[in-house]
Amino acid sequence: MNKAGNMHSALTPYRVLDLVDESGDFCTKVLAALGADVIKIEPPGGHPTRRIGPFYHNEVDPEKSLHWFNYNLNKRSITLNIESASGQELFKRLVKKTDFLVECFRPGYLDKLGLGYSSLSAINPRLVHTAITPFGSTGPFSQFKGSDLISMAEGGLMFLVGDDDRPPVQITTPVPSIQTALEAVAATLVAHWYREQSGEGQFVDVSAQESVMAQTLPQTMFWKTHGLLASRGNLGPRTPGRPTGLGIFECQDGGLVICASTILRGRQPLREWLASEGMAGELLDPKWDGVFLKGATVTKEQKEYIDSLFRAFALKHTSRDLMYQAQKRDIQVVKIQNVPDVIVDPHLKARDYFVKVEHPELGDTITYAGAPFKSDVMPWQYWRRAPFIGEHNEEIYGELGLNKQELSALKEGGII
Amino acid sequence: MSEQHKDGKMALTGIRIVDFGAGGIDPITTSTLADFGAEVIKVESYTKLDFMRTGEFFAGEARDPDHNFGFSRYNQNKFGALINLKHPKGVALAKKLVSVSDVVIQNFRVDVIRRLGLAYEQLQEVKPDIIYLNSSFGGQTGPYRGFGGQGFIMAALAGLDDVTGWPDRGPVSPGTAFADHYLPFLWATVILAALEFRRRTGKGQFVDASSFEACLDVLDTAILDYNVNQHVQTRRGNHHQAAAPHGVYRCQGEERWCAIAVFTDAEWQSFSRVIGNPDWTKQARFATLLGRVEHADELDRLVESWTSGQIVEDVVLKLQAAGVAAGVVKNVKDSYVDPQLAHREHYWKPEQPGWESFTFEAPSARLSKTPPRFMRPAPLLGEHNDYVFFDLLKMSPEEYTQLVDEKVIY
Repeated sequence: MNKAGNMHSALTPYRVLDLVDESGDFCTKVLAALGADVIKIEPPGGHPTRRIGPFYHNEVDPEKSLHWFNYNLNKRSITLNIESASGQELFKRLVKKTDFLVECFRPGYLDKLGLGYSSLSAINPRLVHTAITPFGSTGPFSQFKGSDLISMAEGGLMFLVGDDDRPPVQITTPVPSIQTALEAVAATLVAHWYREQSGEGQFVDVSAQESVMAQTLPQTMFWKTHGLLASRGNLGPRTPGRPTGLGIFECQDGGLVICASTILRGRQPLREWLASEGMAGELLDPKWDGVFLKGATVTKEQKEYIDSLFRAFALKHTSRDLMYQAQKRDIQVVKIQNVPDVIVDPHLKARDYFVKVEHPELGDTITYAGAPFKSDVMPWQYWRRAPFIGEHNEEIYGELGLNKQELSALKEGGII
Repeated sequence: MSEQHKDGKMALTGIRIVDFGAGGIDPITTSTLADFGAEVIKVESYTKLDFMRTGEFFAGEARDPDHNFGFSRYNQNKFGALINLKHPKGVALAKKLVSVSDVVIQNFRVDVIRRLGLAYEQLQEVKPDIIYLNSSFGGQTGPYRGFGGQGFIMAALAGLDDVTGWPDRGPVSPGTAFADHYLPFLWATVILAALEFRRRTGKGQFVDASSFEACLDVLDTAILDYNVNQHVQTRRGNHHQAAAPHGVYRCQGEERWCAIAVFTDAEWQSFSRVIGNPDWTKQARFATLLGRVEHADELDRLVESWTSGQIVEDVVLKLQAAGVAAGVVKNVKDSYVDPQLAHREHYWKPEQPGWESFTFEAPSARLSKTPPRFMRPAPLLGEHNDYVFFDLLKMSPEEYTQLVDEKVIY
């Protein structure tokens, strides 16, 4: 354990140069949570992602962006103008001593600066250089601009999401970026494993469009096996002639649950549950045995009838109670939680999911989303708030052998 | 030399993973690693088929569990061996396989695995440094321990449905089975991290992989925003707090939509130029980002009046040429003819009999020296029994025959 309180983890010995924007922020966040020494390289004046809201107490300030807070935990920050010759020279010195570089620039930008993979790998053949771009590093659309909305559209996910009487709709949080960045982490660690076996680094080229496509696999299957083209519905993609087994139901407390009311598993337990409270309608009639006991296909009319019974049933229970009782009976029901529900979720509380991080300069301790898994030996941890602009200039440039005088000259020159 | 190595230089050659998983999350996790050369051995039995084998994506008229596209796609590049875990000798055999492997992944219901004798501590006896990923709905502790549910359920519980849809309507499910297609990259990451950790420290580990918790990162800053500002982030249609126009606009034809995202003033000016600078674009209220965001609804109607008579692909090319982010809202058919995906060779075409008319997808990462590769669709039931039992476990033909007769290898 070091003095900042972080325990040894998977990537503790390794350094990452972080040149990502919001489309790659989650990638370097994961590397940092697994212990890597991630150095965020900001242009002098601060990184553009510091302008992304919301802000701490809604005070618009590059040192108070909650986006910045969330994605830059544990990281150190230096400022560096990589568009200047002196900046490039310093950058190359940093590259010599790094294990990973992750960036999200438009393809060709770093090459123009003389900092593309071919130049950097000549300086450091062990370098794993990961590029996250909207469409990939080469190809007819490689120069196209992207965003979460565009990736969700071009990756085929958006076509499948939304109410059927309105246009396709986005997921309001930046899921395409997060999904892409996560796939980039996995690929970066694949390259790392190979480097440790072979001594060779390599270039990892990740496309957001292609990453989003992973979300569309079942619809691709419907198309390839049945020639059916799915469209959107509020319960998820709709495939012609394939009624969804799901339903959304309002409960006594006004909360909503999603219930797999007619998928095969849990069908008979649902009938018994409704019957136990005298609300099974005509479902106990033997004519329904085919559906409940023999797995017969449920017609649209049958589903509507079953759902009408469950609708009345749900209104007699609170959403959380309905979830617990259903799960005990092996029926797939969960509460559709909103953000405040998630924050007070008893399961997350019991498992100590949320993490407090100190922000001494704000005189505050802030609660963050925590580790996505638990391991006794390999922690995923947050031990330090996100850095201020250039907070670690002296520390990191000092490691390169620069003295205070040189640092102040570089500062005056607009290099750092 | 491992079987996988014969296929050439791959990044994860030499890593052996025993996959007891079924369904979506676990199988896709290990197939992601198999795409890069890990030797994944899928353990199955006629007594308990992966339910994807009998799901609705049969690749032909016959309902053949060896010819199901859904199963095959989620288990591409793996090896398959039959071990009946309902037989005590089957459990012993599985342990023997684990003793020569690096990683175990399983998603049995909580407690079932311990009764079987394949819990972490039980496998540590035969392989002290085993990496063991136990994937489940809610993890090994807590009130939701033992909960079940498919991928769409996790997204709803994790708050993702609530942040998807229109502000004047109810929540919307964000895709088919969100967790099934998100978590595999996380669990692959955790397995690779655990392998690196073991490489340096010699230690294996148990990973309590809870799908519910792991989905929460996709809430982005919503948790912080609530904790710090008591602000509830929820669905807001296609609008964006720092861009307008930002949405999906009807184009010529049925279900043809264009996604457009205009962030900066410079992009707005480019956008206006592309659409011919009609008078409405000159209105002062649209001149600034804040003005555009404030009048986003009206802007949407005006933008759609321009897109609705046009072909979506043309709109996208015109806007992108002018430096404005735009994209086609693609369906599956569009993706198959997408020139960018063709350039990246996204669709892998198998040569194996019965699969000629299908495609399997590459992961999104291209590694310059050790690219992902397609070697084979999912294993047929017991397809690699010989390799696993004779080559890896050095079983004698007599023993093999006996275990087949006793329905242990079954």
